[in-house]
Amino acid sequence: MKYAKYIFIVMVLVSFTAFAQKDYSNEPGYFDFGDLSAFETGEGVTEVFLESNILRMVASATEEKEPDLSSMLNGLKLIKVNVFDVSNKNESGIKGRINETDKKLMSQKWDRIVRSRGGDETVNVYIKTSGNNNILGLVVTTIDKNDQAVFVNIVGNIDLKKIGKLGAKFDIPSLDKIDKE
Amino acid sequence: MQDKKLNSISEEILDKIIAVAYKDTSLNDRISIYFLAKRNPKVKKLLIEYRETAGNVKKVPLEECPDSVINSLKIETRKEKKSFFIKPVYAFAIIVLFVSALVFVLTNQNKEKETVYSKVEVEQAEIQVKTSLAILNKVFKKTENLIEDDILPKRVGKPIQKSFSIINEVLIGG
Amino acid sequence: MLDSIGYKTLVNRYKDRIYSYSVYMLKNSMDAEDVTQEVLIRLWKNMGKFKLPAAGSWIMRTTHNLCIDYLRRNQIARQRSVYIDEDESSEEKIMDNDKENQPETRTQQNIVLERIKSAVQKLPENLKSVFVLYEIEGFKYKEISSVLYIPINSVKVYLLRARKKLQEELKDYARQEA
Repeated sequence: MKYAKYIFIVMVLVSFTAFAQKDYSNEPGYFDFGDLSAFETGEGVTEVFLESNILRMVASATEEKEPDLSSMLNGLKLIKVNVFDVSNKNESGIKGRINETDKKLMSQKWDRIVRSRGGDETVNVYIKTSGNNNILGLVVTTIDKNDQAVFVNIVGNIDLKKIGKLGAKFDIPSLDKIDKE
Repeated sequence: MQDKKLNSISEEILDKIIAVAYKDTSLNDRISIYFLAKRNPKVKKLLIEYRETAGNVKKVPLEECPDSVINSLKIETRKEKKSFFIKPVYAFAIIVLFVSALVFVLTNQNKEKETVYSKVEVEQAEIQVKTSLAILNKVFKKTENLIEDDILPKRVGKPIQKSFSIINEVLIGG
Repeated sequence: MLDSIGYKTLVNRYKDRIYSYSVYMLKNSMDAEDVTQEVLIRLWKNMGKFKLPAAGSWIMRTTHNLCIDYLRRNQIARQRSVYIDEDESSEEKIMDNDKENQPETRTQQNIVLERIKSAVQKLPENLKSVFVLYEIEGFKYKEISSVLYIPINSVKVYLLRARKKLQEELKDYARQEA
């Protein structure tokens, strides 16, 4: 009977997990910045959240026109981007969040490949690598007190060079003013 | 003759005497033996003897079962209990729960696979991907500029120049 | 849960009866303990297989059968009649232990009771089982018939013979004392 009780409890827990939402916490390249909605005080806010299924759809759609982009997207599981206009109202909060993020990432054994602070700007770039030096995650945090703050997390098989190359290709001069989707 | 009759007691009478002594007979037999005992001393003697024995037998108590037997029994029955795996009603409940969880997971998995995005949704997603990459590029560009224009000359170059000037002064003498 | 409560009730009600019967039949307290434990374990395993009113008969039948098994096993192990006599005297001692040998508890009544127990032990097996079940354990003719699988008339006959034999045995004791 004792064993029956344990089996019963396990079955209840299993049934709960069945009802659970899909979460990325098990992904080594994933990072949760926490609730960033408090920083949405300015006019310009950008939020991107693209999961693997939609990324595969985009990859499939761009296979012919942009094969580089397509092959890159096939290896990704998540693209998460948050952009805020920096103002007096949210500047200190954002800086605090960037510092917290830095501490957490370092404690979770992420590699900080860029840390630069110059005047009014701060840029931090982190990567998470696997045993065989594949990049599984990318985190970027940046704040320009006269411009914007950016939080980026990309999860999946990442090629930094490709990302940089493609990014340059898609750089749009009017990027500064993008409406919230 | 009468003495002979009184002296010899038949098996039948003896059986009745014993039954009366052990209070294990009908009222008729008790009365007949009672009167017989009054007339016949041997019957009376036998009745008294058997009554005494019967009285003592009734006083014999049951032997008390030692506690150790009951205590060891508890261990044995507990061992037996462990062998009972599961009662049918619990087994049924567990199976129902497990099957329903399994069905839910499987149907959910199927739903995820069957999600169909519209053309508009895919196009929007494509724009978002490109925007994200552009944002990253902007960050990387800023970083590059920061290093080239600020960090290298001011924070790295300046100390190096100062070091050289110190060396010049010390070694060369100005 | 009901089985558990029923079982406890039956154990409390019958444990001494099982043990007593076993002691008289086996003339040995250790074997009697073994039989008692075995009967109670079998009772646990079979709870629910009989109705509670019939439990008494089932219990005593099981006890009787186990005692017979033990006796048969011991009979095979015995080789000499002298050994049997020696065993009987030592078995009597087991029965009398802690009562007759302790002066402070030694009363006339106790001596008489011990004599009776001893005499009962000496009865032939078939007579002894009926006598113990009826006189000491308080079972009725019909129950004894069910326990021992013998007709009710046989129960009465055996009982009568047992009483006669007991009386003879006690007379022998009295003659020995005299």
